[in-house]
Amino acid sequence: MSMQDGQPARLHLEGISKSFGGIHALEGVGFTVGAGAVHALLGENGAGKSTLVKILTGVHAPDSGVVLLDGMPCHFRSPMEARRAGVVAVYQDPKVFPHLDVAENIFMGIHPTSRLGTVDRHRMYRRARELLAGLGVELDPASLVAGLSIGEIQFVEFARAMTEGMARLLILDEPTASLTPAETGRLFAVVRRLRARGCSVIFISHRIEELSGLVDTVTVLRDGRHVATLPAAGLAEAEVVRLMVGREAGAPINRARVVGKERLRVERLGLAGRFDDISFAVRAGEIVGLAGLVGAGRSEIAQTIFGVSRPSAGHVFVNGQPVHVRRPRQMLALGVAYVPEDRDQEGLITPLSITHNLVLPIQRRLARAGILRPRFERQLAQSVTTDLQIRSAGVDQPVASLSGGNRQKVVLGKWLGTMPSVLILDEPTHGIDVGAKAQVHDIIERLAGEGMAILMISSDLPELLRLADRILVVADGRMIREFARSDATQEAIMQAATTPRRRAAE
Amino acid sequence: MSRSSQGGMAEAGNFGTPFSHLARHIALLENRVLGVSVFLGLVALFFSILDPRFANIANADTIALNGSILVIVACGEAIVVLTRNFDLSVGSVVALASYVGLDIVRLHHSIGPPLVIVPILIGGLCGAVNGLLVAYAGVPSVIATLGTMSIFRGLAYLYAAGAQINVKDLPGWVVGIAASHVLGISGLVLTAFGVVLGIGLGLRYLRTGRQIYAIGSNPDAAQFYGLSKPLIVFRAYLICGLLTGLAAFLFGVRAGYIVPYLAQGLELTALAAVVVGGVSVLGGSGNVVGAAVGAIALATINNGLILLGASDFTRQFIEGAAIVVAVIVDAVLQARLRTLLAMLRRSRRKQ
Repeated sequence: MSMQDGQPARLHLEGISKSFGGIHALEGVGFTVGAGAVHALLGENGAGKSTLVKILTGVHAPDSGVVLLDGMPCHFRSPMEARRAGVVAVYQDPKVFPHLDVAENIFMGIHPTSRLGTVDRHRMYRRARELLAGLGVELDPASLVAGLSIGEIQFVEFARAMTEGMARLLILDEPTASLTPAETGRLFAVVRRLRARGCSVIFISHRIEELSGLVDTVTVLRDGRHVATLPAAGLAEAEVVRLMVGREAGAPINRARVVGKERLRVERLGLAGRFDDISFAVRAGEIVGLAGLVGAGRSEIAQTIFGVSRPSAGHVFVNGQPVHVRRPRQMLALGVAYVPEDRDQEGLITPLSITHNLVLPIQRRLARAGILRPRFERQLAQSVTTDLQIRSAGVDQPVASLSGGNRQKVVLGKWLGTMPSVLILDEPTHGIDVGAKAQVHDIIERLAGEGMAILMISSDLPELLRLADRILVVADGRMIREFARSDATQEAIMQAATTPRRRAAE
Repeated sequence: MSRSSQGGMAEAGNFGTPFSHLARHIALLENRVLGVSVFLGLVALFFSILDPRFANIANADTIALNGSILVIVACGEAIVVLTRNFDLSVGSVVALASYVGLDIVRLHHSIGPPLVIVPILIGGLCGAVNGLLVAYAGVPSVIATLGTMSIFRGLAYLYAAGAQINVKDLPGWVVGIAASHVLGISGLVLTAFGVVLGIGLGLRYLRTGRQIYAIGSNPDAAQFYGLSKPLIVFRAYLICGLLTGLAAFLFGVRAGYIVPYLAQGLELTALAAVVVGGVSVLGGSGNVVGAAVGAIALATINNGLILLGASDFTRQFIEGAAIVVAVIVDAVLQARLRTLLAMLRRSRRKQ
């Protein structure tokens, strides 16, 4: 497979290993991508896909292993070096300059110049128009990037990848995660066009079903190891899932929780330009899931309830009382807590110890006559770390040195101490390995069991199906459907999350 | 899915029409030069009504001359602000470059007009120091340039050692340059005009110019584009320093007596001009034409207040207020812009 008609394969990987601080991110990964092939790279979060992309584009150097590009060994030291060799990655969260227009974003750093060395703006716009047309993308080179949708911004990055001739290998890192079906369709059309012109594409995803008809070959990674590389034709979805997960998906935890009084109610909440007309309620002891595509407005809804943004319409009720939502401190005082997706930036003080982070919100309560009691705090932290199975060298260890899963356990442990009446979780297991994920689920379950009302945003549908009592689906800033756990399936939720746009696209 | 996408692609061509309403709003918000110009017009009208001495040729000339020097400094400051940084040392650079520079001119007057380069180079040197501190040593720009503000001013005092320079003691060509007229237009005004034109074109047509906008727009993305953020920020400070050096020469000559406490508080006036002129303190948007109109607007306000007999303190108060109000207006407009852009994104997705 590494040789096709005497031609070396576009990309050949052998024995790629990479570890970070003793943890193996990749171990002996090897597979081959043909010239002009679309190759899907599948795996769960933490399977090693991102690390592999970073190695291919020169962000990381592998600890060992061989990378052959068209038969030639290559060791890129930076993304720019990889780009010059025709290896370009387009990330889910594209790096662009919002204040500048499309053409300028395509040519930043590689502006076409006149003989005087000045930027040849005329040629820049003409070349941009050509590149976009070559991709089959209708986009005005003079439009401001800040006003483009994520799908359109990806096309800008594609065009950029083609500025120095055809890219040899284009790596798309979960490009469809935040796209509407219409946008996904446009993306696929562009990928087919690239394939026809001889560009190889590595397509990273965790949604297998959408790739049928586009992908030639599938490679599955699991826990940093290569599991299988198979031709896509005739490959059953269930088979791929089995290879990715390597075990049966966790069954719903089904313990009887006592659902009590209504804790949080939202009526016709809106934020101009982001979402409108959102209404729902969460009761004590209940876990309500908020599903939808990335960019559908879920985090904005949560943050508006928490007072980060002031709503432009609607009402919020906490424990039956109307609240004029103004700022987070007021919501915290009312017993509403929000755990952001970016736990390191917003949820923890990473240079401080586990103890400090755990007791921070309750320090005053633990103190006697205003004097802190460090020994008591440490004892408490000790019992929480044991209780939540936070793996560390001790409670004095700085949070920064913990793994993602353990950091999230510290965040949740903090709320175990304060017991807010409403807890809003934004992607609580994003980027956490499989083992720690189950433990985080247990903690969430326990918090609900102790009477907390929990609103949980998650893009991980199996997780929502496992934990949530009800699942609300948001699409494009609107509440589309509500599922009871018993009626919810991944397919039905996905369908709902994309329905209105599908209609709009037709 | 592929079939529906073909339809989507075919329709994607007519982007313009359904969004033209939103796009118009956005264009209007983006174009701050228009806003500042209207503001300048209102200011002029206000003073014309209050004081009959305001609206005449001689006074317009005074405003133009005083404004020209501010325009040059504001252009330099604007470049730095575009990269999401500040330069609070420009007032001190004016004092240092004009005192030391003109002293060297006085001592070596036999060389003649090419000596104009001396204060400009001193300004450039100061700019390079700021650039090294901010871009390469990683000192936050407000702190770094607050420090050099004191350092440069202190150096000017040390160098002067209690003395002052009388412009009358300088060679005749020095005053000649500052008082020159070409086709009846003051050389000072022409210089400022040339600076605005040159910097404006440079920002638009030179790679460094485009990269200055890019760094201000998204500093973290720069490395993915092979841009060197330190190098670009350094260049911005260097250009700001050179322009401030040029302004220092003109400032000193017009002052009559050159003293180390020259141009105190100029950094605030320059920053006010830049912000009033619509250059976002969050970087990446605005242009030097706006900054120049902002500078003229501040010079006009200053002139009008002097005519009305307002005290120094009142003028200081108004200048400070101008900065604060301009930043608030900027924040409100940016928020409005973000909302409009979000609406635009949503409507584009529905296509």
